[in-house]
Amino acid sequence: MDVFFYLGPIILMLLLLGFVTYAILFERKVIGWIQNRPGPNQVGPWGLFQTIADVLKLLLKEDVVPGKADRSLFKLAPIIAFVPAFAILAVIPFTETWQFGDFAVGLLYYIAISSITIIGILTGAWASNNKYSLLGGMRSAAQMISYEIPLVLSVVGIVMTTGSLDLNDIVLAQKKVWFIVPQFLAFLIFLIASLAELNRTPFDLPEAESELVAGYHVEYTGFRFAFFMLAEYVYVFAMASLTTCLFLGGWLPLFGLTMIPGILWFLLKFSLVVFSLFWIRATMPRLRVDQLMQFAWKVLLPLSLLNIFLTAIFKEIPVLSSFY
Amino acid sequence: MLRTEEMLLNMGPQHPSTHGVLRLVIKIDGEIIREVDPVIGYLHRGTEKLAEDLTYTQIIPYTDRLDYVSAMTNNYAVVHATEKLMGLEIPERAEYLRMITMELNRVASHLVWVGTYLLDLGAMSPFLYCFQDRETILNLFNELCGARLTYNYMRVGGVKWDAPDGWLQKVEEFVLYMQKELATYHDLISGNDIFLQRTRGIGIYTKEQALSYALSGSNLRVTGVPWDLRQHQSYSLYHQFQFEIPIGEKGDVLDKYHLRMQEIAESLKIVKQVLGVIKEGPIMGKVPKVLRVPEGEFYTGVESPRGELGCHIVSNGKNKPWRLKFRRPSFYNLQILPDLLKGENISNLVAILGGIDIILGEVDG
Amino acid sequence: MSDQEKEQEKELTTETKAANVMSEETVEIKSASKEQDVQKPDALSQELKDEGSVKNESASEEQGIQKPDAPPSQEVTDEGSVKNDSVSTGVDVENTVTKPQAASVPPKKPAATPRPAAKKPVEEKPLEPSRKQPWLDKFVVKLKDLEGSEYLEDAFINRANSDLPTLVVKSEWWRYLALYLRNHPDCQFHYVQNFSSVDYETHLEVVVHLFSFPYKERLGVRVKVDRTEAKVDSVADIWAAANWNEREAYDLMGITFEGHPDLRRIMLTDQWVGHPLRKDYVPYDEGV
Repeated sequence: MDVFFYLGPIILMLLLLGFVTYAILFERKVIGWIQNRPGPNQVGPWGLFQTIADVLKLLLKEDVVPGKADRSLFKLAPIIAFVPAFAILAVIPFTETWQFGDFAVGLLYYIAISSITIIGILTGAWASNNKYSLLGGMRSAAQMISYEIPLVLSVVGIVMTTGSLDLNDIVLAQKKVWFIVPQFLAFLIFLIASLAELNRTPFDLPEAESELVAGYHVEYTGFRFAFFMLAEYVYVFAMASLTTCLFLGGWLPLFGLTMIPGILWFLLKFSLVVFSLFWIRATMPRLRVDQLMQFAWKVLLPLSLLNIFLTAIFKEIPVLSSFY
Repeated sequence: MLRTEEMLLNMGPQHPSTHGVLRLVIKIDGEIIREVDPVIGYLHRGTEKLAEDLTYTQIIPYTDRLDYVSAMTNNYAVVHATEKLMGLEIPERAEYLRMITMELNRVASHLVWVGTYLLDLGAMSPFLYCFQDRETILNLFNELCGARLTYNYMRVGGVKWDAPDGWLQKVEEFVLYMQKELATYHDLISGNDIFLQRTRGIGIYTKEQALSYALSGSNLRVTGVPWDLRQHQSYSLYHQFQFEIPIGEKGDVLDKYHLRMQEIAESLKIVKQVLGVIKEGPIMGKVPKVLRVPEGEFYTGVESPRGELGCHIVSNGKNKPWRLKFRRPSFYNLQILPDLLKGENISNLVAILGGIDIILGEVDG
Repeated sequence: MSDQEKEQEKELTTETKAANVMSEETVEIKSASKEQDVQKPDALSQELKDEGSVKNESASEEQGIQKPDAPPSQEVTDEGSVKNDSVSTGVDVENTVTKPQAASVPPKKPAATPRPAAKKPVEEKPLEPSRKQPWLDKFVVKLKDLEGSEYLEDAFINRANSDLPTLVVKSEWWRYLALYLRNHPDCQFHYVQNFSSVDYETHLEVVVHLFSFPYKERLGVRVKVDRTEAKVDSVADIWAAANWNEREAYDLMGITFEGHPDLRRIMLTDQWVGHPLRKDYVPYDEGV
């Protein structure tokens, strides 16, 4: 147990790096296929070493700190951004047994810790002393805070149904039916809000390339830049895992196919979510700032409140209450 | 009331969505634009001055570099003006070949616009679809004149190369393919809700403004002025063919998108008609060895994908022009930008600037 | 212009003079514009419009003459492309080929005034005055009646350029003429097709090609500018399109546009020495 206690996170970290490496490749391949082109295919067979080459290149780059930047904050920012991204993985139950920290308020922990990243982004944006990055950082802060609210509220329905904030309980509560069915509205809200939380198209305003060049990390190079990218992809990993746990029944098998191990089921569902994130990225244009805010406050927030209300009502209806 | 401070933002000359080397000095309050000052000239190569030391044939490759997205039209503008001043007769086949290439080039140019515009709005995929189809056109041009962007294809008196065997057949195949492909574009883009939200009601200007700023091409037509030099100052053999001039209703960027898509369809229509009547024949008219243009002054405009591309030649009877001035549509169209941007936010800046469809090579001359 | 034409013009002049109510307002406008009162144009246009409504009758008659029933697209065609009217293509092309000097001002010969330009072809083909002649005459007649018409140096048809009616004015009068052309109901040249400048070595010229959408007519205006003291009134407030074009002309040709809101170099750097499109321009290089 002790060995696992210390080695586990390191293994997870390595796994995570592996995931990020191949998620990037996967993303590029998927987008490539969607756009009628092969995607990376030169480095290694099927482009398998492409991301590794990219990372190596990033690490070899000069570490530039702009002259007018706030040096200490500038260096601190990527760490602040990355650490919470990694910390939240502790509560994700990959299978019944594979979980690092099984505690009763797992969901709350996830949401609380993940909001810290925005401080890192804002710090980096401000410390760069660049107007584009400042604009990107401000957008990012506004966006993440706004979308956190519908994100949390959409999950409330599930919490009401299971009566627990423990992600294990939530997964096990889906034995009969996945929450995507009774909580479909919540699923949609959650998916959209999580896209916004992840700063991915169509909500990639903080780093809107065509407007703000690269947004908050415009001045970052080499290893520090890699950290921001890493944080972003770890969030993809975490958010897709959370979606799987909350709505797609986590490691639970479909059609009673119990001979397939739970971890594979988890990975399958997880990959589906990740794929859909990439898919949306290849399809959608970007929203405008004001539209983004309006969408969060005027559409998503009322809808998530409605969802809570509906869940409460359905819980009292005899026929439906078995699902809630 | 919160006191806010204006910030000076320098957008460009190196910026992903200024379409080249346009620099915008913007005063912003938060993300709201208070004032814009476009700074141009980063790509100024002095084409007009250079032309004064070049013979008329030598000028043609320089025009390729003005609006490098539709070089055929540029070629034609200067060639046409010279021919008119000299009073040359152009063989029919040459004119038809010119029209085919110009219209294909218009299609290619509008495809670039659609693609890059969607890229400006943050959608990546349409860009690649558009460039794939454009690639087909570029390959056709490559086969015809050995260049993909800077064609140097037209000559005073005709065109340099005849269409190789089977080329016209390929063009026809492309036209049929592209006509179908347009429906795909509409499926992909026209109904996308985010796209509509980003473009609807953005960058509207009135007809009076458009005329005062001497906008031309789709930027003028979008305000409801059916003005197309191909019909109204009919040059080449355009009068032989049927095509419509699409106009806009509201004048917003969404209208511009629809208008340019329709223009693609109309250009394809023209190419198809030309393919129906083109016959074998000479591709160069009778042209003296040394082109001496008689004394005189001449201005003529042709309809480039971006608007009225004019060529003002003052000749003193020598083989080189005394003065050659290009009326560069992008230069005129860009002028309205500061007016359009006041009070908009930065995301709209990109949407509006993209909508104008400028090519910096042309703006800077 | 041939004698015949001159006579014609005289007749027209006398005819219309009677009808022409050139009120004192116009004189005022003139003086106002001379003082370069930039904030005036709106008021001016209003006055000009009023004046136009007074003369509406005569104007419409003239219109009847100058506007054939043919669709506008054919009127404005480049010659040789659409030629279905009485002037056959052959004749016209021949015209341009054999008598090139008919075209316009010979740029290299400063001694020759632009005036004889249109003479030759008309003399040899007196039966075929350009189809644009009435349209031009209309202007000339009107402009001659305006005070300050002595600034109108010449008015002719640029035959080589698809019979483009062309006015040549002195720089002092340009702003006033621009206002007139832009705002008068019989002109309504709202659209600047081209804004160019030429160095003729003896003098500079600002060449503006205007287009009138209501009448579907083009007009070329050449403004003669002194070479050593190249100054001309800005028309940037009359046509917004002139703004950058004047900056370009200032930058490359060295013509100062007085009253321009923002006259800076536009293409070249602010430190640039000289104006490259001048014929006597020598590149300045600190190293040499």
